[in-house]
Amino acid sequence: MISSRLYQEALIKGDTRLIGDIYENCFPTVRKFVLKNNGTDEDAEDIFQKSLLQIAVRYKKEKFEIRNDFEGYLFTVCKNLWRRELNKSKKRVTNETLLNLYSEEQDNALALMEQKRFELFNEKLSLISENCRKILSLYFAKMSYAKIVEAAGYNSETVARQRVFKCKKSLTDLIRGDKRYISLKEL
Amino acid sequence: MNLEEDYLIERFLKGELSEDEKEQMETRMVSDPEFSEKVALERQLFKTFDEEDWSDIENPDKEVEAYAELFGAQESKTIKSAIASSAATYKRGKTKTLRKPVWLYAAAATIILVLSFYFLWPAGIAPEELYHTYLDKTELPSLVTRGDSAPDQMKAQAYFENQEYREAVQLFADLIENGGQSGAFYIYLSLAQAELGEFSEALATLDKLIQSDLLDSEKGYWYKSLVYLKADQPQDAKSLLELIIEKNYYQQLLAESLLDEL
Repeated sequence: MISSRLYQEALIKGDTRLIGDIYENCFPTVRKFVLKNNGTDEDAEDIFQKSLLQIAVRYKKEKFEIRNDFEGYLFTVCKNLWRRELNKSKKRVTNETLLNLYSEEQDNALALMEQKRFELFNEKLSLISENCRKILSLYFAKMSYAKIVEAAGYNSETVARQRVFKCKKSLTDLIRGDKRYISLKEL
Repeated sequence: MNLEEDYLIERFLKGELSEDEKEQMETRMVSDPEFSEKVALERQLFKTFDEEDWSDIENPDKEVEAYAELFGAQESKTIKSAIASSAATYKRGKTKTLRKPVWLYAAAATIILVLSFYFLWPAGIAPEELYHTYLDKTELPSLVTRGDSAPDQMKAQAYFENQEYREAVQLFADLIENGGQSGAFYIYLSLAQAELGEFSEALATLDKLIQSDLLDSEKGYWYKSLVYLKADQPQDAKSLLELIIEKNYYQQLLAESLLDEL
């Protein structure tokens, strides 16, 4: 497996041969994901190119390290950009809030910072106990306490609430204790 | 933060507060920055961990502006062009492949077949992609019954097919919890967990299937090898595939073909 660093370097150098390899290895999976989630071929191409540019620009500025394999990381970035796009269209349809008008560069920068926040939250989530992760996954999926009681086998909703509170506290303490949160919390 | 305050924020974000309570909450958020930060973090967590949503940045700061500047810089434009050029080359390659006449495919297939006796096939396909390819080749069991006699299991399958994995996980777990005796429940539950990235849970579900005395227990090995691929643990997938082949377990032929591609 080619190291992530090599791909990151290839991106900032504009090495079309290695970027071509990234396409061969990763684009089919991303395309399949976007098509499965109400997108078109054009959307898949757009998301893929934006993701590569995001990784390149971020690497250029902060030389960040990809802990797992490059393919998996790129897939997550693409998936999140697509979630973001779907969310934007949903807001447009429901007129939920007035959408801010940003330039392409500003929008790319916002997506990058949102990705950083996503990574921070997920990194901290992986540090709490498996049991807490399970409870919080039900809680953040907006499942009712009655259902959480059923799913986790608690005695009452009060016990479930206390457990959610404790688990969430472990998670938020970890997030607040990370210096990266300081630059993200005002956003 | 105490439990009551936490519950109040939760109800606020879920839109469960009365108009009065909501007003009090909003007033407090304006006058109490610490409380406001708690609400903001809770909102971000909800939106980040809900696959159907996304946590947008509401107040761009200097760092966002610095990145925006970098996105607009000439060197980023050069990178963008290189990416676009690689995309065009990739697309051209795909189009050319599609336009090749059938005889060329046959000739290429023969050459590949002959060469594969002499050379190892290059391992270039991402495990995640293999997971999707081989899952597509596996016929998933149908839970649709005659005359709507089991609405919950049909509903669970519908959730799964509509990619509403969180709901699917909940319903399949309920079906198993309530004594549902079907290997298919375990299979769907594990695949939905894998789609949510909950790999250790997915593997544990399949272990339960393997250890059960259900007719489908043997299928657990095949799905477990697929979950390992999805979790990007190809070495673990390989060991299981070897076991499937050795013991003539379910999907032995697909296991051989998948092992070749790894």
